[in-house]
Amino acid sequence: MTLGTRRRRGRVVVLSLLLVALVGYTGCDLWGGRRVAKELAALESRYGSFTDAALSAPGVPAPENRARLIAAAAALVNPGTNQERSAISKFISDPAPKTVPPALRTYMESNADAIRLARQFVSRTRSSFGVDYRSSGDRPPWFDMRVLSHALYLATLQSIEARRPDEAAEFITAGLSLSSGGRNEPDLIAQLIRIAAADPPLDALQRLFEESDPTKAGLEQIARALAENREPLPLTIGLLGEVKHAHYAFAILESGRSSDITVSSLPLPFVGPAARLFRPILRWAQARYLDEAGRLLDLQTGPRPRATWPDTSTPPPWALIDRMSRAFTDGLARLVETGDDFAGQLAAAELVVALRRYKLDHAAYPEDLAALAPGYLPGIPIDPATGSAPVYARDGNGFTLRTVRSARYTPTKRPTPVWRLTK
Amino acid sequence: MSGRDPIDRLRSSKGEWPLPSEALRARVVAMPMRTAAIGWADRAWFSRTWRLGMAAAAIGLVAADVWVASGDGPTRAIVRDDTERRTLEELVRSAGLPEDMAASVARRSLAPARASALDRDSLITGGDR
Repeated sequence: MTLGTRRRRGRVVVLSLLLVALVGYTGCDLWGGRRVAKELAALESRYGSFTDAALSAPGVPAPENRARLIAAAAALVNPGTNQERSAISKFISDPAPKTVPPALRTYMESNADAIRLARQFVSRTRSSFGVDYRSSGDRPPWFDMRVLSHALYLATLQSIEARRPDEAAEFITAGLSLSSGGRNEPDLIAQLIRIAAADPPLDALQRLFEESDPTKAGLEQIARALAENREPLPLTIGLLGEVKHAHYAFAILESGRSSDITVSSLPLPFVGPAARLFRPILRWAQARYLDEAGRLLDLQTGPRPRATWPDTSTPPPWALIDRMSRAFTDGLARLVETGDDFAGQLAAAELVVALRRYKLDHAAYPEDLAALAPGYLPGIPIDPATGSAPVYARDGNGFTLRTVRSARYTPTKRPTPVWRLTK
Repeated sequence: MSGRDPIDRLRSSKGEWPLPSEALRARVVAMPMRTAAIGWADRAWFSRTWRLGMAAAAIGLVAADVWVASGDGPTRAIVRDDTERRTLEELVRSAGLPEDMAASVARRSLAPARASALDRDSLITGGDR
């Protein structure tokens, strides 16, 4: 065999192998694409379109839009120094009875303009930040909103100390309105901010009931703010937004474009071409992700008490597809617990406010929670941990209302799961 | 046309090379000398001053960059972004997400820049955002 013949034979073999590899690549790519389409169709049949033009809250005319007031108040917030912020966090997380120390009073006064504007939140019932959460770089001022919720908390405690329960009720309403301002935002962090922003006013509400008697008008105002925050549940809209965002991120990656999204810490110029090259693997990972996300959304929207979520172990390093899909779903099941804790807190607060309103009208608390509906509540809210109403018991002139929290719930966190009112 | 190599042909040629005529020699000697065209780029490139100047400028730019990074303006912005990112990250982590995913969610949720207090009225009444 001559040298030329050997070279030609080598070329033919290499080209044949390349052809086989290309056929395999295309086949895997098509198969992956079909699997994605199948999983997506199943999800869309249950949770609506995943291919909307934009991932944002429905638009609201500017004069009616609370989000604009929130953004304006957030712009006025003094974020404070690191020391001030850590002092506030420490103060808020202390469950003991307390008075606002002078240093924090000064800090609160530096936020007087923002607090004054926050009192107007209640004047607007609709809210939309008008942000497309699929793109990066344009987000509502979450950090400043969190700072504002802390400033409102300090203002509430100061009003309780000064024996001005109606003013305290007004600040609690402002804090709850700040929280519910993000209730329609289809974004995970928006909903976590909503939960975090509701914690301080709910804690302050518990303290208000322990230390003073708000009037009927103040209670009605709080009741409206609580009811507003009930729907949609934060984790339902937050998880759905997260799944839609991940689906969008996968689609962008598969197309070989990566400049539109913040994918990872990988150097962006290489992400696009590499993702396009490994598209069949990405598609398999996306199909697996959509399957797991669907089960997670079913768990979130399903009956309570919820089913147990299997705690699967970390996939081995060579299980590339499992690792890729897990990178998007890891820990999301634990967020469902956080959402249920929030719903339980909200249910307890709504019931306690309704019980106080009942007492103002009837001079005594009812013997049973059923007496509150439909006069004070449209229905008796459930504790998601048990699937039934929180446990209510008369206790002398007062009552005890118990809810159950998840294992991860900090035992010292306020508001506590047990509301005990003695009068 | 002969297929022989011209070099071979020259080597095998008989006799001396003919000398140029006196007239040709005189004409060539009488032609004006033309100096080589040296442009400004050549002058700059071979100039010691230019080289030292470039080195000094490079050192100056690096120093200015370091100085600006340690100044008030940029540092404040970086610190604020970092505080914001860490706050959001902690919030997401406390809600139950693992560290790396919390970092990723927080990173994509940073606000672009703080709205000025002067923008308050347009924010409230509906100026374009």
